[in-house]
Amino acid sequence: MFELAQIPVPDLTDETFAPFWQGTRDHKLRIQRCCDCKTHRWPPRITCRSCRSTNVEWVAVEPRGTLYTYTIVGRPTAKGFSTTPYVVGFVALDAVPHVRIIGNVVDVDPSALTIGMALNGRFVTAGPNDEMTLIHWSPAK
Amino acid sequence: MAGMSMKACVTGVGNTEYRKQINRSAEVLAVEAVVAAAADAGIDPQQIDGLIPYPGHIGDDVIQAALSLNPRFRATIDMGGCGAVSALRLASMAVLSGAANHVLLFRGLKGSSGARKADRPSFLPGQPFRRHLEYVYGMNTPAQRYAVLCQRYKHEYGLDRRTLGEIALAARAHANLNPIAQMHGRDLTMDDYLAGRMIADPYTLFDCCLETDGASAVIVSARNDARDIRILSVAEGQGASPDDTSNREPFLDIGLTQAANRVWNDLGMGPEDMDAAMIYDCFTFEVLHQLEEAGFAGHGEGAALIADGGIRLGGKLPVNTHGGMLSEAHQAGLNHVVEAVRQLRGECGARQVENARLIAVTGWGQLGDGSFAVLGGRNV
Repeated sequence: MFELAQIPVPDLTDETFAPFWQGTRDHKLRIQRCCDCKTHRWPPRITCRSCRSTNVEWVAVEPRGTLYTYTIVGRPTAKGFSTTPYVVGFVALDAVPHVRIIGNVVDVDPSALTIGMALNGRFVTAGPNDEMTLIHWSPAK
Repeated sequence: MAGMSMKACVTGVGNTEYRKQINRSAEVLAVEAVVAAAADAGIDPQQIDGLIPYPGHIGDDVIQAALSLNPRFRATIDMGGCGAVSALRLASMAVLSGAANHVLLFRGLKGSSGARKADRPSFLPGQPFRRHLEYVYGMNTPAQRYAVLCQRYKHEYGLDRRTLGEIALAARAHANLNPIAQMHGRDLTMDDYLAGRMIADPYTLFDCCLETDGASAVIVSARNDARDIRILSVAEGQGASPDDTSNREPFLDIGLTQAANRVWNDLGMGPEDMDAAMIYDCFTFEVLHQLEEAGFAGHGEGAALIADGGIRLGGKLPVNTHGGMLSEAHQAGLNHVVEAVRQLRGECGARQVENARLIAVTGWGQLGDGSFAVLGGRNV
């Protein structure tokens, strides 16, 4: 459904995102947690917005969650996504519900999508040389 | 009453025609709009001594060189669709402080016949988030980014497609009373709306604003003549996470929420005092969303205001009497300011709001920025 090899690859060495991309390569969903106050945060930021600490660690969480909101894209606008419709969802993680991860929701008829439905993430390699690993979300069985 | 203190005024407004394709450069269009606004203000363009351009459109250097201006105040507001109303605020501050006498706000673009939106450079904040977290999942347009807000609202409060349809139809009905509107003379029925092709669910074709070739200009001055329209109060605000919508909490929180409260408190007025509202209508739902966030309706109650012609001329609150960005033109919100001024002067002919005295204008951009102004006519 996607032309995975054509999806533009961001700078995987970007220091703010590198631990995340290393995580997906290892089939782990890793998010940021403040070393001091232990607050999880997303998207990656240089500072904890609760305590202002810049000490950060990356912790793996189960790639399971529920659909918080979504859109069904009806016309192609992005490289690697010439076939429509496809679904972009925001997934609230079961382990940390205030963290929402953006990803494609697959293996489901878009008309059957419902907010709140349980989803499981799986890791999919993409990019011209399989250099990045994305997360696709499917309905939990 | 707010009118007791010194207020900056909008003294001139101007625009070109708004079309799908105009065979003149964006630079020429911008100059035409500026010259028209200066004429409208009754000043020579050379009296313009302040410039606030719009990032990604024609630069202030172009206007300065074309009209041989000698500005003493220049500033750029990088707030996307929020920038028009925010520029009213900055221009007010400039003219009230004595930094300038006549500050020019302008837009000029080939938004329709030029490059497609997804192919133009993005000025959104948080570019790393866009590249690392969104583009890799095929999310790269405003329609997609705004669709997820609408979808969540629909889940929390319920939303009939026909409510969004009525927002589109009201805009088109107003545009059909406005000869300069890009969609003037093109009727839109509910059946047409419902048959619109899918762009980014729940948004279909007629939920999305236009792309336009054209230009517009507004002059804010330290002057208070009989025809000038006072900027009674104007404020800005930000969403809870200004550069990211995905993890914002509350999810539907936007900058307008704070901005509108600041203006209502400043003026000792409320939504019920407004004779009309010009709402930044990048997408249909954003009209409803902002009507709620600015206090014109309670949360989840915007549909009731929109029903039964409530936002049409003659309704409880006429909204976007020019047709807005949905049906007049995409000028990144500056055409909303132009329309408010013309309404308050009583220049709008068939689409005139009877005895319009107070008009609210919103701005919304860069995923979180909001701005809000109340403009007042002479009879306030």
